[in-house]
Amino acid sequence: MLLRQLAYRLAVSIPVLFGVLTVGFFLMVLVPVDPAVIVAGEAATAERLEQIRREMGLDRPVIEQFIAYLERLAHGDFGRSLLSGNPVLSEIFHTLGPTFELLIASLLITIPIGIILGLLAAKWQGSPLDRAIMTFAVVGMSAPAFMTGLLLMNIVGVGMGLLPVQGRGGPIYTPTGLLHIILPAVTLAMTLIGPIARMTRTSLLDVIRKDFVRTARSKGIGERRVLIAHALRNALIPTVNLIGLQAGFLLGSVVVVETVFAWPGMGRLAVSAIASADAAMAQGAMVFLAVAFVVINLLVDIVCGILDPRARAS
Amino acid sequence: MRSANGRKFLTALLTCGVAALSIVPTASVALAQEKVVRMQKYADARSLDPHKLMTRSISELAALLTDTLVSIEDDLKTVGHALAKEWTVSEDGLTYTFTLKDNLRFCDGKALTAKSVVASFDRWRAPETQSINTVLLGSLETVTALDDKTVQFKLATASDQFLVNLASPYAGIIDAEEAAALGDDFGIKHINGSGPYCWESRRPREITVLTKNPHFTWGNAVYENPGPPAIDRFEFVIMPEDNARVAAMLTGESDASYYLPLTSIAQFANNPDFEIVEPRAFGYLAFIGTKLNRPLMEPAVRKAMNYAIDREALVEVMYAGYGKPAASVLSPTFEGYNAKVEQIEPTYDPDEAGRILDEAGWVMGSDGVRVKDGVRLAPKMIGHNPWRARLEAIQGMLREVGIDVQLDITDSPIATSRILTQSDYDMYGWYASYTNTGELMQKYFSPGEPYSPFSAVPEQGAELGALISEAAQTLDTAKRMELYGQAQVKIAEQNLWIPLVHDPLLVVYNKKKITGVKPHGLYAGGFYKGIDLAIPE
Repeated sequence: MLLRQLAYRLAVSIPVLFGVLTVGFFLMVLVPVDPAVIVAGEAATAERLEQIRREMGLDRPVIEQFIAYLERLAHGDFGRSLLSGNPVLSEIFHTLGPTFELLIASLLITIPIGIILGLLAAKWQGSPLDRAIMTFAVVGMSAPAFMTGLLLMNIVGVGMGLLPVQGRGGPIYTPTGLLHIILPAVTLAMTLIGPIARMTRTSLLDVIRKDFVRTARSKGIGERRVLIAHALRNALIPTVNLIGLQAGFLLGSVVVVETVFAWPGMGRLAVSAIASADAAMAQGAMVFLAVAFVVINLLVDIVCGILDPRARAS
Repeated sequence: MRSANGRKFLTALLTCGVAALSIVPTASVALAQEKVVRMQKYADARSLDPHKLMTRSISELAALLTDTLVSIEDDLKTVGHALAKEWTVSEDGLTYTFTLKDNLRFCDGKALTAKSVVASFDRWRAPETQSINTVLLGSLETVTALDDKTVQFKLATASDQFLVNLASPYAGIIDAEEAAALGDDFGIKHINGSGPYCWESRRPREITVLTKNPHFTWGNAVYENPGPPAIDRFEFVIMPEDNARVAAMLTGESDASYYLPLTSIAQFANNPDFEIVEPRAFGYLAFIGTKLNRPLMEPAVRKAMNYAIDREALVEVMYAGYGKPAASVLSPTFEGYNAKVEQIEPTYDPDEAGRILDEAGWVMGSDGVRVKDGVRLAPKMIGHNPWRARLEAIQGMLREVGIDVQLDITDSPIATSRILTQSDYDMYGWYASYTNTGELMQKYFSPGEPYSPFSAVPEQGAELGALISEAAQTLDTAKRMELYGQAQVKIAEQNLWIPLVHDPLLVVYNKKKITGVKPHGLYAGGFYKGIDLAIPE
């Protein structure tokens, strides 16, 4: 059943990806910029610009350009970056690692903290602690990532001098790599801790009123075990769903966070490509971000299927 | 039991955190021992090949990676020795003969001879290089190696800029054999240069790392250190975000920058760890360009706009007080500046602007916008995002006198492309980067040049064009500057442009971390060759 569901999801994602690359292609065509000027520079002669347009196929009708683009993609050729001259795929592959690293680091911060905060808020429902946690959750959700990032950068980095504020110091397992990832990962995590804490609290409050929890208590099982081993496991299903959905949206925040912290990932690559009207690179980055979104959602489906038999049945 | 384990886990986590944080100073010390200078860059270049394109992001690195026949002081006019120890110029100004220094080498240790120089220039001029920079060579006809150490250049017509242009980073001597072998990847994957620093690695949009050239021992006239450089590595980190650049300077992650937002300069000026220095000459003019083929750009409107813009206020608010209000298109720090222009160029007087427009028949409408023959005075102005605030301020000033500017602001490459290839606009807010008077005049006011007000109507600029052309071929410096002075007067009298502000080039550096900073305005490169840079013990 799960496999059939996954196959269905995969089949559905094909038109989604086709839509992304179609929209991406035509958006970049609509941008009123001459790629030949980007390649040759602003001092290029008219003849040189014309020659580049011919070489790039820009003198052909747009539909022809689109078909040629699809043919190249079918052969795994995403073209070359107008800005760097490097193959698009090679540049994207260089950025996948840092982005993946940042996403994982932020999820490693987000998930335990979000769940613990939700658990504490539910356990002491209505108390000042509950209100404080929920206030923190709302502020974290509402604050734009660039603002949180700049605040952390100025307070923790500049003011306290504790952590580096720009770039990637190396792989995450190296000391400098670990230090460099903290601020961007925390910034990214701040956007997701709130929703997870709120969802965990709501779900837990619902579950602890269920009969099986009452039964567990009546058997004399300790309150902490009832809460964590019995109630939390069941309450986590909607939270996992939420994490999956939000992890997709994290890709949106990654674009901002990577730009603020000069993190050499795919989000920053996409922003830089769009700002410099580097069409091939922007299109490639859009396709990869869409693929990442689809893959994350597939993974969430798998995890939910494992955790909740009802999801498999549906 | 579980609770005790939890406490142990938390204690271990805290210990790891404290240990990790304690690494910060250790890492900094390690970097200092390696003698690394970390610079900031705002944007990356497509390629660092100096012979193909002309942008600041290339020139600042090309100057370090390649050496030139001659060097130039930060006054942008005094030419001195570099690869060439001496040179002669024939009386007719058509033949330049250079004698190279001894023991010149490329980064890989290969000898750099007169033949290498010829090969480099041949590669630059070859049609397959598809260079857009050869304009710097003027009417160069031949480059010949007379022997191992002598190179001769022959020009078809004399040029006031030829020698100065040979000092430009775009005239850097590269290993032509490597360029041929790498093809389009030259400048993207590697450059075997002749400069004080060598290519180590580059990750586009992220970082470029240079290392000192151990063979560089010939120095140049600008620096005290004959070489090799005292620093081991030179890192250029791309940081597009303004706040990130400021924060990185304050935390010590960057050692120097000339890309800091002007609004942040005051905090560095007040910080004893930092020094702010400027080159003696820097040609970077913010201006409003006009297109004379557009009906709205009639002389009275251009003159009125020049009166309506408060340059002092722009400098105060938009430049945090660091720019200089422009009374002329040419900065007063350049040779040939004609002070008479200050009497001609309108100063801020909105009443006078209104009077000029009234006189020209532009009647103030009920909505505060002037109209003539049913046409609203609403010119379209192209600009780019980094200038949004200043263009909106200008829009407000012009609205005060009844000119309703229609701003069309996009990202920089889009704006550049539109200025150069489209004709559906009346004005554009832009910058003119130049290294000498001749370059400003020829590049921006010769009819037919893309940025020229006469680009679409070159016949209207014939008189000014002839004057500039005559100046360019005049070898006598005093006479040449007089001609350029006359050109400045014509530009001001016709209000061809609205000069706004002469931008500063402020190099901010952490004086505890580096010494020997000599700011340089050549193509806004900032550090030029950076040979005297050192790290204090």
